[in-house]
Amino acid sequence: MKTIYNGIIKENPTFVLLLGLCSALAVTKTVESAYLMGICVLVILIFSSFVISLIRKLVTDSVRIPVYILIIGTFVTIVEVLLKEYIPDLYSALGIYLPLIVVNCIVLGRAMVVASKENVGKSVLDAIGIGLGFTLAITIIALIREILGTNTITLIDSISSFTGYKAIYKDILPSTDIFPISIFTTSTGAFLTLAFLIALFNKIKGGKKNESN
Amino acid sequence: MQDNIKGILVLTITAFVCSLLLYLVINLVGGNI
Amino acid sequence: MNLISLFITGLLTSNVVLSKFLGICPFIGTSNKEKNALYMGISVTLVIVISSIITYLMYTYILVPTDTIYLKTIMFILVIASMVQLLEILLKRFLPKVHKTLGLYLPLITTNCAVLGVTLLNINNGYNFSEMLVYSISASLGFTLVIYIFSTIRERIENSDIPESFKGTPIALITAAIMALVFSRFTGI
Repeated sequence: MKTIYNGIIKENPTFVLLLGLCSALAVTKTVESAYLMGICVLVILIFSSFVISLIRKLVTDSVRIPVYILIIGTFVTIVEVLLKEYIPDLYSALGIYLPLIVVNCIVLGRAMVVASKENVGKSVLDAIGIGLGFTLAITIIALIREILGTNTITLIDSISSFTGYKAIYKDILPSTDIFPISIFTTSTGAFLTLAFLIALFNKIKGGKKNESN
Repeated sequence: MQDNIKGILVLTITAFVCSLLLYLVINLVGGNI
Repeated sequence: MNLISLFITGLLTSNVVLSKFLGICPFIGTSNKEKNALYMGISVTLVIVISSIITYLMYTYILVPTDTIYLKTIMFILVIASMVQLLEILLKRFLPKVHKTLGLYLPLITTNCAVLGVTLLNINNGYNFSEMLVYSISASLGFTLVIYIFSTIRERIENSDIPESFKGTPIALITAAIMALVFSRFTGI
């Protein structure tokens, strides 16, 4: 349990470890693409951590990177294929950022640091924690960007063919002349949102450290 | 040298298993991607 | 598609870093020295262009005819990993000083989203051979440009007065935000 808490807060991949920022910025235009991307990363993390941890004693140092890349790549491709076939809207919404999970520092990094060293149980728990932490983080980013940028919250749109309905909430806050601020839908807004969130996280962390002194 | 041989063996087996897995998944989904 | 406008797109308007968010990890994490940024940029350019050519050919002449398109992701990343490994060996042999300066960041090029991203974009955007060449060159030069400008700004920032929680990454991201804003103005060309 502590491992999972660790992955979500203390070693949050987005706000603390600063990994996987490419996805964090790219798929956070709508809340939906964010949490769905998070789930994909979570699934891939769990499966690859499981397998890599399982064979960790068999893999020699020299072939570590290609072997891990093969394993992670296989799971990413499986997710790609399944999505393309069953939820094509989501597949095109995520675009190139889906296959890019292969080189997402989170997955490969965790494989190197945790799965290759710890037993299966601990590796999978870590994967769950990190995956949840990532999903939470980018969902928060997306929430901010979408509300401030287009005054909507999209929960179910791309996967509407799967669930049978849509869930898009519009006009959350009253629109005024200066609001919504469309800059948040652009890359500039993405950078700004992430910057302030990390700064906020740093401030909270710094505050906690002072408390314990 | 022993280490390298073992490494390449693991690599080849992994590649084989991965390809097999992918092949199965593809055919499960209808064979045409 | 007009090759010149494609070049401008890859370099400026759809800049891989500022517009597509590829290559952010090394972008934030690179050291602040201008020379390092330049070396990194050139290495990445080499890897991207050569990998683009190889992966494009692989896709067109191997994956498509054998109906194994789904192997795209894995094949591409393995090609990239090999290219990076090759580059590391070559640098160590012929330019050991550069190899030492780049140090740990060299193998990290493999996980640079920009490299895999550009190779995938070549396919997804349906480029022909010459378009692929132009795009991969312009995109990687765009990366180099941004990372270089960034390094020149960064050193000056580190020396100025920044609130504690903003030090490091947040201020870097804010700089990126401003750069993104500037680059987005290029859409008029």
